[in-house]
Amino acid sequence: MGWRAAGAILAKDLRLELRRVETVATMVVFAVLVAVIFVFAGDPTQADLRRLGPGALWVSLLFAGALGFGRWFAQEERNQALQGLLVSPVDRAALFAGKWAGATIFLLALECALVPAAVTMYQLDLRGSWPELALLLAVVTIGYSALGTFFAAVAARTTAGELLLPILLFPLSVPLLLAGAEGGQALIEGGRSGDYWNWLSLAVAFDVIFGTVCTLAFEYVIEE
Amino acid sequence: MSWWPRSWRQFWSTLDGRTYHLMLSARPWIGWLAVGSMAVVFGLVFWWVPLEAVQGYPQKIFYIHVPSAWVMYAAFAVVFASSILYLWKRTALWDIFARCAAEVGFLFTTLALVTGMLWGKPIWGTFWAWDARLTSTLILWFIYGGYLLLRAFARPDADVARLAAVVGIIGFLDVPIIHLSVLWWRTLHPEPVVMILDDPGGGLPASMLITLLASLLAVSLVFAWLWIQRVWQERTAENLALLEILLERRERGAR
Amino acid sequence: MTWYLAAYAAFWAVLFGYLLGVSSRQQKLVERAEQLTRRLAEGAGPAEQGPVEGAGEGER
Repeated sequence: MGWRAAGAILAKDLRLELRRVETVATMVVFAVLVAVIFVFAGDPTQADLRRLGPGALWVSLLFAGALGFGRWFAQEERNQALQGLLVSPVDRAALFAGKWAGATIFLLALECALVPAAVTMYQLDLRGSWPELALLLAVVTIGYSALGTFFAAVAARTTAGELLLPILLFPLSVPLLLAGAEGGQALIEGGRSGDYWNWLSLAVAFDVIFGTVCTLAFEYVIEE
Repeated sequence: MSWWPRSWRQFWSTLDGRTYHLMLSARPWIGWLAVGSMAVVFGLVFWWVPLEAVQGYPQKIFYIHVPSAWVMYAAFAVVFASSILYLWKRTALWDIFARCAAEVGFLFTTLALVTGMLWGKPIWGTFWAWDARLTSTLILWFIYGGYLLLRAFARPDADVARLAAVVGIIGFLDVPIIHLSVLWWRTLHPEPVVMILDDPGGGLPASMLITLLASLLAVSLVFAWLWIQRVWQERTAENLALLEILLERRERGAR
Repeated sequence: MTWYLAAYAAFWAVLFGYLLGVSSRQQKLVERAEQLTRRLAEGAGPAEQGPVEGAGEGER
C-alpha cells in the first residue's frame, strides 16, 4: 500500500495548495517580513548586515515553517479529511511520507523566494558557493519538514497547538539549525570546506534518523 | 508474587507490576536514606574535601552540579524506557513511570541550570555563557518542559499517554545529536573564557573523587525517592478516581 | 565564598519548593481518600461494620 498511497497524498496536497497559490505567497511575505524586522530590531551597520544576514534567514525560515506545518494539519482536521484518510486502508507510514514530502516541497518553494530576498537585503556575497549552499538548505529543509509535520500532528491534538508546535519543534531542531547556519558560514567565509562537510554530514544523519523514526512513530500519533 | 518469571513474555508483561512492587517496598525508608546521605555529602563538602587551587570555593559547586546533571540524563533515560514500554504494553503504570520521571527530571534539569549559573558568575563574571554544557542543558530543559506542557494541554479526547510517549522517545533520541552539534558549534567559536566546569586540571585527587561519587549516590537517592513518591501518588490518585466512579455508579443505582 | 553558599542554598530552596508541592498534593489525596471513604461508609449503611480502610497504603 506504501508508495503509491504516499504519492497520491502528496499529489492531493500539492493540488490543494496550488489552487490557492496565495497561501504559499503569504508565507513568503511573512518570512521576508521577519527578515526585514531583524534589520529594524538590530539596526545593523553595513558590516553587521553580512554577519546578521544568515542568522535572520534561518530564523525567518524556521518561523515560517512552524506556521506552515500547523496550517497544513489544521486544514485536514477542519474538514475531517483526515478521518476519511484513516478509514481507507492507507499505511500510516505512507500517509506521513506523503505529508512530509508535501511540506518539504512547500518549504523549498518558500526558500526559492526567501533566499534571493535575504541575499539582497543583507547584501550577502555567496562567492559562487551556490550549489553547496543549496544542498545544505535542501538537506536541512527535509529534516525540518519531517519533525515539523510530525509535531504538527501531535500539537493538533492539544488545545494550545499553535504555541506547542514551536515549543516542541525548535529545541529538537537545534542540530539542523546549527548545521545550516554554521555550514553556511563556513562556505561564506571560504576555505573551510572541511567544516561544511562535517555539518552537512550531521544534517544528513539527522534526516536519516529522524525521517525513519517519525515515519515509524506516526501511526502512534494518528491512531484514534 | 513469584519473582522468577517463567518466560521472556511474562518477564516483560509483569515488569511494570514488579517494578512498582519494588518501589512500594522502598518507599518507607528511601526518603530517610536520601536525606541522610545528602547530609553526609554536605559534611564532606563543607568540612572534609580540600579547596581547589585554581577556583577556590566556587569549585565546590561541582559536587552538586555534576550529580544533578547526571540525574537529569538518568531521568530522561527512564522516560525513554518507560515510553517505549508503554507503547508496547499499554498499561497505565508505564505511563505513570514516564510522566513522573519527566517531572522529577525537569526539577533536576532546573537544579543543574541554577547551580551551573551560580558557578559561572564567580568564574566567568556573568550568570550565563554559551558554554557547550550549559547550552545543552538549557535545550534539555526546553525538551522536558515541552513534554510536560504537552501533557498539560492535551485535549481530553486525545490519548495523551500515547502522544507523550512518542515525544519522549524522539526527544531522548535527539539528545546526543544536540550535544554533538552544540559541542562542534562551541569548538568552532570558542569562548574567550576558560571553561573549567568539568575536571579541574588533570585527574581528580582521591578525596574529590570520593566526594563526587558520594554526592552522585546521594542525589540519585533523592531522585529515586521523589520519583517513587510521585509514582505512588499518581497510582493512588487513579485508584481513587476508579473508586469514585464505582461509588457514583452505586449511588445512581440506589436512587 | 558567597556564590558557593548561594548555589547550595538555591539547590535546597528549589528542592524544598518541589517537596512542598509534593506534600500539598499528598494532602489533597488524603482528603479525597477520606471523603470517598465516608461516601463508601454512608452508602453501605449500618450493614457494614468495622474499620474502613482508606484507598492509600497509609499516611505519609
